Amino acid sequence: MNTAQASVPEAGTALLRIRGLRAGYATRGRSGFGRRRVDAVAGVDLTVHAGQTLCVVGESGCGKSTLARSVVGLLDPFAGSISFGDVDLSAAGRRERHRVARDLQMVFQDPYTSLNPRMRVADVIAEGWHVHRGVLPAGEHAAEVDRLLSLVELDSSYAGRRLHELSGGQCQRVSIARALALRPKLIVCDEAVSALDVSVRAQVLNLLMDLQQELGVAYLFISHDLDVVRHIADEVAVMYLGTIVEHGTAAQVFQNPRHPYTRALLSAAPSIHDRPGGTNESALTGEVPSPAAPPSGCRFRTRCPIAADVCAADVPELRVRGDADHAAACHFAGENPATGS
Amino acid sequence: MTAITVPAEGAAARAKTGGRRVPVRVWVGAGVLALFVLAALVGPLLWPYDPVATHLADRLLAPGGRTATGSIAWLGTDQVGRDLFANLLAGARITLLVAGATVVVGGAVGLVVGLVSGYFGGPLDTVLSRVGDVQLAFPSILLAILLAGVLGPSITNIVITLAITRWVIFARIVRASAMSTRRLEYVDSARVLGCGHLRILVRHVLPSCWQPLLVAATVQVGLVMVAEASLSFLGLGVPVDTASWGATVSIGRDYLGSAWWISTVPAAALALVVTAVGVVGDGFRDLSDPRSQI
Amino acid sequence: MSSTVEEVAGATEATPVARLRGVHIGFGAPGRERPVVRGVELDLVPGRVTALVGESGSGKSLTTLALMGLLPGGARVSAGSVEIDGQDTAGFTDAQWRRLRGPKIAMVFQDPMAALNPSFTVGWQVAETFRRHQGVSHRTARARTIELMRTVGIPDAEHKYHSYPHEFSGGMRQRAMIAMALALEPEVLLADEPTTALDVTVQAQILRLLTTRQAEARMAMLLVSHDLGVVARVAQHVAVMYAGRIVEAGTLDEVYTTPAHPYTRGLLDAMPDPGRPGRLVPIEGQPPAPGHLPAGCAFAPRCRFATEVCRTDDPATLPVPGRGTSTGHVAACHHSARILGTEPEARS
Repeated sequence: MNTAQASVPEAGTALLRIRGLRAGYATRGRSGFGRRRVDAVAGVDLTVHAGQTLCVVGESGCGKSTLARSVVGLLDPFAGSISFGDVDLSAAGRRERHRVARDLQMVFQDPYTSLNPRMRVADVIAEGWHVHRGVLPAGEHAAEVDRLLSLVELDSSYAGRRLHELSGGQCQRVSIARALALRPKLIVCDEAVSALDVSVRAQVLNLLMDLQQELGVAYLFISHDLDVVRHIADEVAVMYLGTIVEHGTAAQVFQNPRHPYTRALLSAAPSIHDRPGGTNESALTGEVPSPAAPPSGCRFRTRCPIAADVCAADVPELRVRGDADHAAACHFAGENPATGS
Repeated sequence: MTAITVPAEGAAARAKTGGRRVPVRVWVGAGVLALFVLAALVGPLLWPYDPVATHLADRLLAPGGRTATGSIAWLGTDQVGRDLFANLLAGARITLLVAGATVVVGGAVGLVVGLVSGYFGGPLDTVLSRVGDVQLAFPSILLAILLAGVLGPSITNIVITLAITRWVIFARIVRASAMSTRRLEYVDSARVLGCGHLRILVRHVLPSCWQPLLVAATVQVGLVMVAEASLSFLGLGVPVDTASWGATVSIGRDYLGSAWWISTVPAAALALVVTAVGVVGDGFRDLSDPRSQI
Repeated sequence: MSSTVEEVAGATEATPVARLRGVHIGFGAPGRERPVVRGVELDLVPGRVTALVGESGSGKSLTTLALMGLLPGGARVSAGSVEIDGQDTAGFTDAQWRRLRGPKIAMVFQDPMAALNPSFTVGWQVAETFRRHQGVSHRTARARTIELMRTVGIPDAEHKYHSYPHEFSGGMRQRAMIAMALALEPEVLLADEPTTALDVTVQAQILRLLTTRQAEARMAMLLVSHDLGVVARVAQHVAVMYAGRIVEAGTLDEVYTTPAHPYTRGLLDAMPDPGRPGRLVPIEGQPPAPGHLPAGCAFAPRCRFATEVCRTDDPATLPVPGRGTSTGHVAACHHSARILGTEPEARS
């Protein structure tokens, strides 16, 4: 515990800086020859501060998973920069990246597929120490596995079990313990609680929040679930079709959404306070366009209830407009939604 | 799948294989195989076979016939009076040895090539796969005849020959499972942790390739035996002074009218072993493939 | 346990088109089966949306499949009856079931990609329903299909008729599935997690489509979901399943605002709620594996209200105290009265 606390960075300093990130995949051209780049993430700026939780929220196809994979190095970005602490990851060599991997870990959506089912719990957790020698002498592995298991509220008897004997919630605790084993400063959580049942999801969310308090770890939390995001986030970035459309503190974004997409998301999200026949008129029509052929101007305009001519012509930049207290990428974000439109 | 189940044994087998039953036919197949392996190991010590001996008085004795020395030739004798039972045991040694060695050598080469090709992909994979395609397009027995003809008859050479014709099949199977494993999230998870390629290959990709490889190996053991017998039958297999089932079948061909047992005995043994291996291989596949289960 | 529930069932206003009476479903040989669904009572009434809520492994999907006569191999109804239109379906042949499926009872699955055949066009597959059940010509089937595709909100239906499932987006595929289910105007519509694979904005559209069509045709609808928010938006009645039993059932308002079973209460408390920031109140522990139930109440090991009696006796499903039998609010808990009397757990 003491050693872990020694590495806690000062809260509030910028830990992860993403600037102008473009990333995605390549598809074959129409003729079957040549390659065409599809920007699933099309120009994103984000900063995660030490000890804080930044949530990226959006629907499937908005590029949030591509963003997460670029940050942890599973995907090479097309353009832009990602820097962690004082290391520019896009320029860093293998050795430097390897060093950064200790501080930058990830928890995946599905604990059953993201952990090797053939391994024992203790080996899953200890794998990082074999890769990063010098973090922990071999003699202390067993004790540290026990300590990590108790940190994620699992009994130490689980160390010898195989993963297929565990439930989904227990497996996800093991993946959190595995990520924590290297005492990272930032954990990227890609839909980390989406595959879990309601009651277990609450346990894991509580655990993540407790760990942040105890260890000062920061989260880049990717999710489509607004209730979860509202619960855990310090800052929220709403993504649509590869770009961030609204960015602010959780309170700002949820209580005073400025972008029509955020408002639609909020009204479409089911809540236990809904009732049949209730109104959710602002629910959107249509579906997300393909990132291979995004609309001109504002990427949301094809589904936007308040789109005007300017939206097809000009790309709205992400900035604070009018009397708003946070940034939104909408030409009309300055107008108060209650009186406007 | 029809599973014949004996309640008590079924439960025990289920516990061992993680909730799946081993059908009785697999046990029978494994038993037959074990019997032949045992016979190949200890048989020649108890019933020594002398390939150059000739007992003209005992030539072409039918199974159960009595030899000049007073012993009974249970499986008969060949055209120079050698005991076919001893010949069968000695042949089992060679046949099983060649089959086992070929599968181990071919499997090892295929494993390495398949792993590298499936995990890394890219141009290396393209080149290795094309080489495999070219070789598969060529009938393997023709290739074997060509190679065996060039190398000349010896046990080592026949293992080399057959391994060269078989590695592609192992490589393909391993490549397919390495490719599908590479896309799994736990490989991503290992990369995020900072694991190098070697560690990912050995710790995460390799374990998922073992089972398909084993299944393929059991199938190939049978096919290699047949291939070895075919080559020996053509005189391109083991040296003439070495007993082999295929060689014995070949010799017996001239006496099919008068002494049917010379060809029949080793052929029956070959058929039995190949079938047993096949049954065990199927059992492996069923156990390792979750889709064949409810 | 069932005698008291029948009284409650008798209190409903309209005659149910489909009902489950004390249905047990188990895997394994007769006499030695592992029970996965235990004594489910469910009435599907015309014009009403009933929701079956539960976490994975609670038996809600098996219950639904039993209503369609589509239980997977190895599973069977070991006790109780599945009644459709007043007929007990026990011993129905495949042909009898096929006559029910489509005109009487239809189903929308969670994953339309798995439920649609990838090698035929979507339109052809929807039209197939008309051709097979109504024996109409290709032309008529095609015309009806295009009309139907329009009503479920598939734009450019004439053109989309010739598209293959992979050319549809997730939301459009689910619309096609709904079109197929609605083709023969069934009286009962089963929807098993119909929006779980979809995004929120598309989910809202699909839910609206389902409820509109359900209300117009006065269908009885069973919505199976793990999402309490989706249920709240759509259903009038709710049944909560845990470890194969319905532990609480009643109108949406009663169950959501005054839950009488600690599991329902735990589920609601575990939902992140903007009105209650701070730590969530999870249900501790894990649900039991299907077929491996503890003695007594299956929820007792995770329940903070549990007493000695809970560990020995499985509670009967009884009308919730203070409600009377008329409202139909039932719960299977020894301590419903205590639970109703306590305040929600404070959050720190």
